[in-house]
Amino acid sequence: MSVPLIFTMISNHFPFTYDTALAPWIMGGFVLVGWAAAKLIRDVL
Amino acid sequence: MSDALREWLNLALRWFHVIAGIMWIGQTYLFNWMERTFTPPDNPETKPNISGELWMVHGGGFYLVEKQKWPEIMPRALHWFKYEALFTWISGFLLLAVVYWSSAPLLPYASELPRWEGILLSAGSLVGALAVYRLIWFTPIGDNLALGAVLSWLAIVGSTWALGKVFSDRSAFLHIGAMFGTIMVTNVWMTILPNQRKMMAITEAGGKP
Repeated sequence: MSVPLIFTMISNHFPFTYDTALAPWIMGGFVLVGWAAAKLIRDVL
Repeated sequence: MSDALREWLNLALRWFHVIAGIMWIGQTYLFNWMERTFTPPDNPETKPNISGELWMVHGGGFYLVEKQKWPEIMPRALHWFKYEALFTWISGFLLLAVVYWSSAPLLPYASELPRWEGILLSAGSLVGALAVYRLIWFTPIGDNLALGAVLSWLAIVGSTWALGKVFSDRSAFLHIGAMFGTIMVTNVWMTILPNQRKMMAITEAGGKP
């Protein structure tokens, strides 16, 4: 959960991620990427 | 609040928040790595209570960590990891108030919603997220991991959509993060710490968990 959370913190610097009608899906996409990245950190790194 | 004061508070809180968050997440992943790296002791018959050992070198020190099956360390200092989470959340919450509640970016420019209603919705969204999270993961629903994950993901996308209807787009995204942080800190303080205390109490009473 912390990896997607950090995305939401830095997203404020990247208006193209939230300044669009697709914003909820972009959030959903980053959450999935974040979950995958967190699994990588937990299991591999 | 004057603009200058708000800016100073923003800077100080943000600095604190980032450092506290780094410590919290860093600790989490260090312990995670330790859990994955432990090897069983070579002489398990002489160490019945040790489930794993781990040797590390960092800076000028060499370290041996042993993982116990049940806590045997009662008379000595026991270090808890709880204030990183608490202070990250408190500084984050104050930051939310300083940046979004007391100044421009909470609501869209054309919004007719009074600011105080926006603030109530902002605070309510954190409580609501916690309620939804607990409803999914602390009931039989959460026993099915895949179902829990799908519901959680849908709740996140749905919340982003709903918050975007009321708040500015930027603020909607930030609130998703604040919801995550609120859920995480309550996991530490409402679930993990009470369970750790229970284990301590059982051991102190002479039993093995």
